[in-house]
Amino acid sequence: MDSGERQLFEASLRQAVERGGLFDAVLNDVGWRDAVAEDPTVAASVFALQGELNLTSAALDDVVAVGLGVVPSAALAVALPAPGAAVPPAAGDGRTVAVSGLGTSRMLIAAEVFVVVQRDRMKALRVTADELDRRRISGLDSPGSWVEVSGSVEAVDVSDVDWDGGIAAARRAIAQELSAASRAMLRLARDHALVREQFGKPIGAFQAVRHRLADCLLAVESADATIAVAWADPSPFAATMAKAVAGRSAATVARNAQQVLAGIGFTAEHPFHRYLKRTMVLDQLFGTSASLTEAIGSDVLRSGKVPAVLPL
Amino acid sequence: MELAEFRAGLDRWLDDNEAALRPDPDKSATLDGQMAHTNTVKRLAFDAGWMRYGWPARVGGLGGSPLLRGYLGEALAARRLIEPGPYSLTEVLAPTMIDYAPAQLAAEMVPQLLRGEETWCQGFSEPGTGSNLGALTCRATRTENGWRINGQKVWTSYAQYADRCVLLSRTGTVESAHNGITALFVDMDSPGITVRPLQTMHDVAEFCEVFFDDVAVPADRLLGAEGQGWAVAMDILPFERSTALWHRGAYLHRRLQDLLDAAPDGSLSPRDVGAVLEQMYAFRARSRQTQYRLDAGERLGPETSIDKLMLGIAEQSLYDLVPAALGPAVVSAGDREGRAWRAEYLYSRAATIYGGSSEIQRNIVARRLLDLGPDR
Ligand SMILES: Cc1cc2nc3c(=O)[nH]c(=O)nc-3n(C[C@H](O)[C@H](O)[C@H](O)COP(=O)(O)OP(=O)(O)OC[C@H]3O[C@@H](n4cnc5c(N)ncnc54)[C@H](O)[C@@H]3O)c2cc1C
Repeated sequence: MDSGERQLFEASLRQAVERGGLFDAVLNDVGWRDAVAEDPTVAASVFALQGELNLTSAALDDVVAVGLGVVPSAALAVALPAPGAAVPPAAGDGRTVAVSGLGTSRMLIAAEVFVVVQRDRMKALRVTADELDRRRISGLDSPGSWVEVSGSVEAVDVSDVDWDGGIAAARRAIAQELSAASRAMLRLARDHALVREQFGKPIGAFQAVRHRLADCLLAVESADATIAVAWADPSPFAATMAKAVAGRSAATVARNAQQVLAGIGFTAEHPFHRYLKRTMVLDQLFGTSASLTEAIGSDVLRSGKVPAVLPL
Repeated sequence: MELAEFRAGLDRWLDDNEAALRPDPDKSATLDGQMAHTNTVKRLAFDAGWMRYGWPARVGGLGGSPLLRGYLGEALAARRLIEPGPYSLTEVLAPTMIDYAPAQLAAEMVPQLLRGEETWCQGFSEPGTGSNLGALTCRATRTENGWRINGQKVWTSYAQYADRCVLLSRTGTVESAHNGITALFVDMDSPGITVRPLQTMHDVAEFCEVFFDDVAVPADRLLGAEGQGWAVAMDILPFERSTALWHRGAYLHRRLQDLLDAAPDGSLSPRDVGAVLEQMYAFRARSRQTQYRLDAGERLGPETSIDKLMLGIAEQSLYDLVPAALGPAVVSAGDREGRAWRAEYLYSRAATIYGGSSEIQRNIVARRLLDLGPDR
């Protein structure tokens, strides 16, 4: 897509969301799967909107499928790594493999599940959805967003798969959603600081509040710069960096925005907590920021080499 | 010239001329040696053409994108051929001269700075005026053929080496605040100027007190118009936070590698190294966007405060690793490497002070980027 087409795509997406309806249905209508199969960077637009408006969808299945080298389909769910993990959701060299992973809401309705198996080389198989146990998770995020998937399946017809490509695609998209959600939290806090008055003036006049908000913007801009690199450079390293930085930024923004919003931001009625919870869940997917940072550092120490700098 | 061609040609030239460009380790252990060598490198690079790209022809340049300057400084800093501090003054002060000096003056002076024939300094801060630059009091009064200056500057980096100074002076009343400031281009050998180097905590006479006692400055040394000094200063700062920061970021990457090479096994924690690398990487990603905005002819403004904050954080967390990894060397080693790490660790503490402190940058972000309104 060129930038004009991209703008059109974004505008029609936003309009459709504003008309209402499930985000998955909207994505269907705008031809999202064909678009991302053709140009994976389209995911930037979708995940930015998803983060900004705190939407949920099964778009991650499609992104990961494309990254793995598979044609995405509404009938195909992808088994994702379990929360906190960044390894394939299945392992084992024998004829049967144990699956234990995570799915989006699509896991409940899809006919087929795509499972990556960790062997000395990464392998993939397609399983009929009925063969797996699928259970809605009731955790932090909005109900129905995530599904636990497990079971034992026959490893027939395994094929090679680009696991690194799948991980990188997921990390880019999740990083984008994290930063958009962070920007939304900053906006909530910033707007609140302008209207909430204490001691006869808006709280946004107090330097302690201003500097917290400045730190939020600093965090969001750091994430966005890193994410922009990841969309331009498809390497796994760039995607890992983006996810790590975006995860850490989201935690910084959440902490500061929460403090500025204070009491009102602690209520269930205020939208803040939905963003906070969503970013906490997203940080758990495909490697937490803490584990990615540690892995990046370990790689550097093991090789003794600072990775090549981003060229001008 | 395009960036790719410039990069390839410059890299080749740097390889071929390594011997002439490489600082002598003994001489470059002192600030005198570093200053002299930085100017030598600028001269060689100017004569070979590299230092002239990215600058307009009317000041001796060969034109082309500012990206070329970005890459030149990056390559010199990453190879440790120059000291990024003194080198970056060119990036900070030359654009100001080009934008605000009378054409004749810029054409005469800028090439001497680019070619390393001269060193310039930036006389902004005063004993009573650090963050609150708008309250400066160093006075310039009109005379028949120019200005007479009385007052004092402080923390003026490299003033003891400087041939010229871009000086902010008070021409209006003190109450006129930002509107009563005028920028002048002052010869440092003018009668009445006394420079007193200050020993810093990192044991380098990096900055000075500069006293002005009835110093005469000719009328044609006015930068911009009388009373426009604040605008001149505000236009300098984004340069300080774009190309110059890019160069410093490249230097820090090099130093992280040097630290890995020097650190004993097991002395660095993966988590700390990962965090530092992330900060440096994010800074570079951000600063790269800024370089391209400069390339596109955009006017840089308050958004460069983000770049400055990011670099301050990255620089300090990088050097925070140094005592952890090289503790004994940093506290007690008398050898060259130990002294260098010690000095750089200490110098990194200033990264959130000079060029507008991190608090001032946050004030700018809050006021200008988040539009939070007045802070009182
Ligand atoms: C190594 C080094 C090199 C330098 N080189 C030069 C140079 O070449 N030319 C030059 O002109 N100057 C130079 N400086 C000076 C530098 O610009 C000043 O130190 C800086 O602007 C801060 O001023 P100050 O030191 O007077 O601190 P102050 O302004 O007194 O500030 C003290 C503390 O109060 C905080 N503070 C002040 N105002 C506010 C506010 N409104 N809100 C919140 N916090 C606030 C500051 O952030 C700081 O933490 C250099 C400084 C250093 C350390």
